[in-house]
Amino acid sequence: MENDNNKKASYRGYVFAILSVALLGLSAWVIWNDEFGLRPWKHYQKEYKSLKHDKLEKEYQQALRDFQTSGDAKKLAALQTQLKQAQENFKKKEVHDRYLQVSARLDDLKAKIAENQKAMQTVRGQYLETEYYFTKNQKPADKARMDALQKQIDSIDKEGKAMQAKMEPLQQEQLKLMGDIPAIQTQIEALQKPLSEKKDRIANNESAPIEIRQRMISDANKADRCESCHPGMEDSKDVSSKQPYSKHPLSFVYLGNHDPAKFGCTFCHRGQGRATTTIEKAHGNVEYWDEPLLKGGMTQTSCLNCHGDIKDLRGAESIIQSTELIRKYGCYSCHKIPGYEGMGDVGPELTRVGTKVNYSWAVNWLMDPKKYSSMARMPKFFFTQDQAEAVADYLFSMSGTTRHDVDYSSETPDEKLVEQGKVLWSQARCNLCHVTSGRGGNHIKMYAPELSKVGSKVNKTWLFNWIKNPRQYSESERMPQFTFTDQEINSLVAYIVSNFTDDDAEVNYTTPQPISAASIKKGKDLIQQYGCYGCHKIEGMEQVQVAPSLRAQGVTFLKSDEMKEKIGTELTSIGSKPVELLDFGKMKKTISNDRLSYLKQKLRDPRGFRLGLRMPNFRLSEKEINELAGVLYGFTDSNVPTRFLVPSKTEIDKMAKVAPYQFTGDFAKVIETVKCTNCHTIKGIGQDYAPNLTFAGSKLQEKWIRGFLANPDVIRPLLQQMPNLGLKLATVKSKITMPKFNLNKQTVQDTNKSDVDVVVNYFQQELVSPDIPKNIPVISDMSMEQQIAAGKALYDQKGCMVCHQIGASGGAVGPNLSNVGNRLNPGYIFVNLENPRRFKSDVVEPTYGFTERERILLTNYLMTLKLNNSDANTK
Amino acid sequence: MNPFIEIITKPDNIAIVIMIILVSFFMAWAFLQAFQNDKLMALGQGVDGERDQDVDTYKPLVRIELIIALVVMVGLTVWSILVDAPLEEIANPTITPNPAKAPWYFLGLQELLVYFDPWLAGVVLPTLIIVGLIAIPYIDINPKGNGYYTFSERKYAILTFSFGFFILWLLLIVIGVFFRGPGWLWYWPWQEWDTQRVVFEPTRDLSTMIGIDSRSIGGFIIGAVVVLGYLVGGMIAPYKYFKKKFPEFLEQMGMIRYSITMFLFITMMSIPIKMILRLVFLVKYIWITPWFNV
Repeated sequence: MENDNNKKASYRGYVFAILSVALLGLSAWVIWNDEFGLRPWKHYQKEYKSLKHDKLEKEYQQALRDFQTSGDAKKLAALQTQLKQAQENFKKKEVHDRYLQVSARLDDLKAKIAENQKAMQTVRGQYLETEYYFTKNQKPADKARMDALQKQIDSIDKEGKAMQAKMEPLQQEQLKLMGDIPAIQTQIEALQKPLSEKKDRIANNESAPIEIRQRMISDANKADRCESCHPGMEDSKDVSSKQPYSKHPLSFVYLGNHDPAKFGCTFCHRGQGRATTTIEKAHGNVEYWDEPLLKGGMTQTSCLNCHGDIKDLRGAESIIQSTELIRKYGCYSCHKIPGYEGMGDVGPELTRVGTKVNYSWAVNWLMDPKKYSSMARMPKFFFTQDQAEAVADYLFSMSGTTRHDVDYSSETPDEKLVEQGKVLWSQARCNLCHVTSGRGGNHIKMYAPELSKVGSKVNKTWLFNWIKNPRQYSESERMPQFTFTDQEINSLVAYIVSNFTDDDAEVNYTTPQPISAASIKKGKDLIQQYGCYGCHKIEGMEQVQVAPSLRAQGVTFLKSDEMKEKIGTELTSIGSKPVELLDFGKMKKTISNDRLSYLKQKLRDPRGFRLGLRMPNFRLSEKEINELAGVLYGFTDSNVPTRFLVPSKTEIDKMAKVAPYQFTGDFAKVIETVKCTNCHTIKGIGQDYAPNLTFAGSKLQEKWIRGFLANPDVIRPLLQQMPNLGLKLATVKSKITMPKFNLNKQTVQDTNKSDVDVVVNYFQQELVSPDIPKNIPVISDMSMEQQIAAGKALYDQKGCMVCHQIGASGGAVGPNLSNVGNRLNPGYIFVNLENPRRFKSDVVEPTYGFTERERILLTNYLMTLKLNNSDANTK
Repeated sequence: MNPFIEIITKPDNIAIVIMIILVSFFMAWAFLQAFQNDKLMALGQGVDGERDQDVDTYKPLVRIELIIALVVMVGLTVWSILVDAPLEEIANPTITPNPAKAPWYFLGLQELLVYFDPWLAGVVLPTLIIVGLIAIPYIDINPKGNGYYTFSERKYAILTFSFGFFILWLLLIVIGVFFRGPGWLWYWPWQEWDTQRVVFEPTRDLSTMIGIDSRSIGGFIIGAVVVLGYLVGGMIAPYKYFKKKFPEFLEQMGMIRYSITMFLFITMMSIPIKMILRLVFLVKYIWITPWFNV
């Protein structure tokens, strides 16, 4: 028994030893893991340091070589000999002795001055104390003491000043004795400065500590340690283009406007700012981290967090393009989205649609809009034939019509009329907004309907009335009213109906058929269920149009208060909606369970998650899906500190109680008919397809305006509009010009002025800038000819012709200046030359920093550039 | 990944898996030794430890403990280096996690909430567990089984402990960890957890089964009779049985010890009874009072 125990004991000793060694090894592992395993940023920082060192060293060597080759080295050598010479001189016995003597006297004086100052301090202290008591107690004794002290102060001060005065000649003598030494020394320093600076930088890099670098943004509750691994993020030098060492791309836009010290990183990029142990953790690509890192253009979704208005925001290009999709598809019609309130209807008004389109067309359209036109924006609701008919029945009965179709395919069109219509069609530049057979539609933000098959959709009477005045059919219609004569409209109608036809169009109801009440009721339910009223106006006519026979059968139409609810989910904070609250339904195993994948899948197949979902399918392209999902991802309720918020202009105006600009008088009527703001921006209202007219009155000459309105022509090269609009090369060749609106043909109602007069008047009275002078300053010491010649010389010298065209020569980036003397006011040119970005922020023209005189010369030269009118028109 | 593998490899659950393995192993080992000893004793042979009155502490015990301490330390260190603390998403006061689970050692109690009024499951039963554990040395008068494993000499104690600890405590923890998913619904290990899952399972009270509203006075009386009947009957019936068959045992035990033991025992047994009522007969409550429900 005893023996047995001993044996076991020795065996246990062995186990002890092994375990102890294991524990020791473990301790080493723990230390290593803590020091390096969990701190990968140390490696990155070291690597960055060595990369930066290489770069700085290279620069230093280069500077050194430059120094030697440029002759600076020789200069330095010469200076050093001079210095030596000067020092020799200084060391001569009589000079040196005298210097020491003077220095000793100076030191003595300095010591005395210091004593004097100390005495002064003491007395002044006493004085201030006494003054305090005197102010408080008003005792005459204090006052007397104050006076005595003041006397002392004066005498001490006098002494001190006398000593100061003694110092000056001594110091001067000292300098004189030193000769050229100080001057040469400063010269040497200046010469060596570039080199020594570079050397300092190397030393600074060398001594930079390796440590966690954290940006603490307390009010946003962020502590971002991103720069621990990305040390070059804010560096002015591009040390390496490789991650994680590269600097922030376009940092002058992003970091320049968002100081990392105030904004941090994760505010825009998301990710897990506090994590430092692995790349996956830091980038938030781990389970349970809701906000993975945003990269590239996707990051711009964060602009939406703070910027109320991203319209002209630099660096937000891709998100601007993406938000346009919300407008295009009218997401806000069914979903509440901040910033998109009161945007107006996306779809056309349907209150009288029965008088407009064929019944068969309407049914087919309801079943699948893309079948009629691949450009159709209306989504597919997956209606069955019955359902589509029910909805059409509801709409047609609300318009007071029955199921009916018209068929023009058997008619033979009047060739002459059609030919005339074709000419008008191109003159009015209908293709600017409308696409026909894949052509046109350059004004991509207008979303005008595609007309390739419209002849088989609408009836002639409606089309005639529509062209005559679109707002008679629908008040909020954006199509301009062209002032055509009835004859012209007839020719246009003939052209449209005969040319834009659909060979596959179904025409089932050439003999009208009555509509059953049951079908109408079914249609009403469908309309309410799917919220058609979100995008289309279908109210206001209900009282008028219920036919007595239908009313007897219990048919009623939806009232406006029954159609107020937005039927979709609110999207205000969809980008931060907890993943748990997103219903993945049967897609749970198919897609990854994160917010972005959910949003994309919802856009791809809105009803695919489970039964009973109502959202229609927009059949977006994968690119559009990515863009839209990116925008939605930016709608967050993350706690944005108020100091970050950049309210939109409308919000600011609202806060300041500034009413939005309103056009007044006759001009408002012109705008209402011609819809200038479809393309132009005027006082912040309208689109940016055509030039901004806010200061048109100051900018343009009256004669030119009149000529242009009568016969619009291209001013700006098309190239400029390309990147903004994404035109394809094939379409660029077709000229984009303003449509001819046939102004001047008629007078505005109620007044006797012609509408061109109204426009010109309004331009000159309202659309002027106080910054633009009527006349430019005059140079009196040069004759006009001399000034013009000098201006031309300046124009050539500064290389303006690289971008601008005059006559047949010059570039095509800037506006053509051949006729600028007829077009622009001198005051505008004068002011614009000072700062081209003053009136339009995205102008590419550089700011040259012209002097006033140079600007006058240039303006005078440019004002001589005139084509006579016939030339201008043929160009 | 297979849901089963996913759930047992979760960092949170590693401890439970280890617990299952260790507890099973030691339970099996203890029973094995007990049965071997019982066999030896039945043959009239002596058992290791039965006769030993004094044993050295140092050599057999402290050394082994030291070695085990080292092993545990090595194991825990490696574990803590390799597996990070299992954090989930940032706490959001507006969102309740689903499933919301207690720490693993309380999951047995949380499981009881399915079957009992929260006041009973959360307050009364845990208190009784602690009181009962404290009372064990005073109510256990069986001197056998000191220093050696045996089953036949301590049948009641071992069976009660095994039932109470292995089944009611540990098994319920295992159920809570591995079988309860979103909505505290039952999920088999091969089933995917699904937050959207809907299960329709209407429950009723005992008296509604025979058509009497459980909230009426009639229902109250029926419930009271059943519950109090169980408590009183559960104490009297065994008493009669022991009196008839083992009067000397009852004598030894005394009235106070007997009633404490029996009260604790039938309270413990009420748990499986209530679970069966709930799971098999879909009974929610037996007795509804204005203050608590049973």
